[in-house]
Amino acid sequence: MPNDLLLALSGLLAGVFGALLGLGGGILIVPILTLGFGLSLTSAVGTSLICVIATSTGAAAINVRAGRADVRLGITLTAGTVVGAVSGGILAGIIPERLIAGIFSVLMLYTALTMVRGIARRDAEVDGDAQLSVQPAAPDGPGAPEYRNRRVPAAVGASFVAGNVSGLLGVGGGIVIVPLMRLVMGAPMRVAVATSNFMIGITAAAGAYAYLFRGDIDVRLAAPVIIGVAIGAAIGAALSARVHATWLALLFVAVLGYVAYEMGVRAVFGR
Amino acid sequence: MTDGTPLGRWIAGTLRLGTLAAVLALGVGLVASILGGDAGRAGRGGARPIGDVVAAGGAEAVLAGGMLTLAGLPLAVLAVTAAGFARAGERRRALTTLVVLALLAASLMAGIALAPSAS
Repeated sequence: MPNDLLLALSGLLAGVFGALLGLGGGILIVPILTLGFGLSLTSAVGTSLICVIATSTGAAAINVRAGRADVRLGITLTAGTVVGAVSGGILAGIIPERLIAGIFSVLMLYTALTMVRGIARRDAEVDGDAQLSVQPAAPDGPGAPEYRNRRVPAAVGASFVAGNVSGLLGVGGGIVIVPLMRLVMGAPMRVAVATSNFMIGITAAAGAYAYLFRGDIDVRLAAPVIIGVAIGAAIGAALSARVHATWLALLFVAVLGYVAYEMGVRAVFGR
Repeated sequence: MTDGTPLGRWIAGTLRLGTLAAVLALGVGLVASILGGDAGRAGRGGARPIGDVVAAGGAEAVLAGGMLTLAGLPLAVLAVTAAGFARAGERRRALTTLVVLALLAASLMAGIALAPSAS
């Protein structure tokens, strides 16, 4: 199968997966590009960040219009993620990679276990039907969703961590943002996913510009991946409205477990 | 449920148009590149500063244009969002959005400033 088609299919898969769960797809794209297509890690991370923007814009175009994304909450948290992405890019040259991987692995494991407990308790926000009982698009005021004002300082602090994750690992930060909105603020899973989709493109852009202008991205190779991602993101965003929230949460927990394992291996064996 | 407010329409419209423009440019550039003989291999120049790719012209310059459109879309979305909040009288939200926009613009400037000199 020609390279372009393989690259596009990889992007499509990452886009569907990412939009479905509020992630950018970088968790799939970086290993696919490095292990499958032999790219350097730097080039793969740079390409991944551009792909995260494509996932974000493709999914958010649907989610915002559908009223599923809380733009107001997203903007508040983005202030933290963008600052974090810049500091993450700086810290990448200072903090040992294995230490970063180890801390991240523990964090992901803890988050996965906490989400599983929430699913097991059949939390109302997760174990609901496809319809949202809140209005995430409502402006501030009496009609605003209650989760929007819950533990905001802690949420902004955690979004700073998400931004650092983005800058350090070449992902959009959704892997931290979605559980943050779910567990810290109590947002429904579907709102957390849609709002994360809106945010991660902005976060990824903060790190992507350096890669783009420094010359770390092969535009010819990245093009089919990005096209695939953009199409996949639109499909994933449409699908996420039809998937039961519990299944979304379970799939997200599986991703957290996989990431925790991969980061743990990297921390212990240094690969 | 849909967000029929001006804010929601503006943001969704910007995202939709911008993504479509970027994907179209990337698609046209990709087809031109394949027809020109680059069938799925890395570009003749490999990874290069985006400024150099644009300056070189040809199919890869079109690809670079699509990529720059996509990379600039978050800036456009933030600008539209700030305008939407201001129009709705949500001044605190508008100010927060402008701060985020300024941070992102600073990242862009830093990226350009750190680019290697044109080869």
